[in-house]
Amino acid sequence: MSAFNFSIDLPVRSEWKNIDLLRTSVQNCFIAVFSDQDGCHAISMITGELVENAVKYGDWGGDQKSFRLRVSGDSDRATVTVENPVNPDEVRELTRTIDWIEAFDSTEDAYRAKLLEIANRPPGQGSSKLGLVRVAYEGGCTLRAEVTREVLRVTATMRFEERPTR
Amino acid sequence: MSRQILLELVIRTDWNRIDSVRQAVSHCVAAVFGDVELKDSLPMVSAELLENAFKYGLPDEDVTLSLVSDANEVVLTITNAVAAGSRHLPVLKARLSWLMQFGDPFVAYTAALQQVYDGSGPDAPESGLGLVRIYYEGRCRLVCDTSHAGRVSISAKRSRDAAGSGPGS
Repeated sequence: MSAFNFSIDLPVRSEWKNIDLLRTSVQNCFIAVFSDQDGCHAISMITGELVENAVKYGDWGGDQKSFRLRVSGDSDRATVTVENPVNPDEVRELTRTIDWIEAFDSTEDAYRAKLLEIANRPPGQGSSKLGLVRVAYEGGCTLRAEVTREVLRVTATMRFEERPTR
Repeated sequence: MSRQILLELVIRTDWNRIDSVRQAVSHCVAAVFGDVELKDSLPMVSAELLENAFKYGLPDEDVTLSLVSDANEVVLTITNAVAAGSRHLPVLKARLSWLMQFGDPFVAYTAALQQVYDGSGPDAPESGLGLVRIYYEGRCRLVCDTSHAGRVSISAKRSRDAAGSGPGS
């Protein structure tokens, strides 16, 4: 076993029903290992958002019908990584959103700005990209995106002391 | 498909955590394999092996669970620390070798039930029914590894084409 207390590495078919299965599996792994109810909700939310993005925005037109979820962590931090095939337009949109979040002084400011933007937006104007902002703010995560040979890898790293308290 | 580690968990000896492990394994297996029978049997296997680890292992030591898969089989392994000279280890080995002598898991299951009925289990005050359930209901071969001093690993190995051959199918 590595330095991690838990490690998950799963090839998963791109189906909507798998989003909730993965959220619940990760949540229960976290409870089993750390007995931490608060942390388990954060990590399952992060997993759900990233996996949902993979299903929604992945390029599923080719032979590749599955994405890969990796989750690992110890008592200080957890990392959630999702890899999926992607087309370049989605990468640009995603990178723009991450850059937009990082331009704020805090993730809370980004979260508030995103909520205002959504509230003021006319109905039916595409996706909100609120999920990534939730991951950054509610999950206390830093986000990174990289593309290698048309596979997008989005990584959210959560340090447990950086999560907002409610 | 190469051999792949799907799950690795380090779990404190705490009975309250068994149900979370069961849920984690169940949902993970459902998402990866989409196999209803496997998603019911492997959580049972994980819970039975964890219970044994908690009952017979050292209480202050962590227990590890791993779930590994390749094209042919899915292997769930529980590893725990045991005291030097533990009386449970020879009982476990005797139980496994008794169990694996049955080519047909159903015959093993009925023989184990008969033992419980007769109160004549081999050297064991416990019924050992958990391991028998894993063999029959879970359709898993059981392998014990004690090559690392102070630790015992029990692997439940299930063929990928065993789905649908379990009880009630």
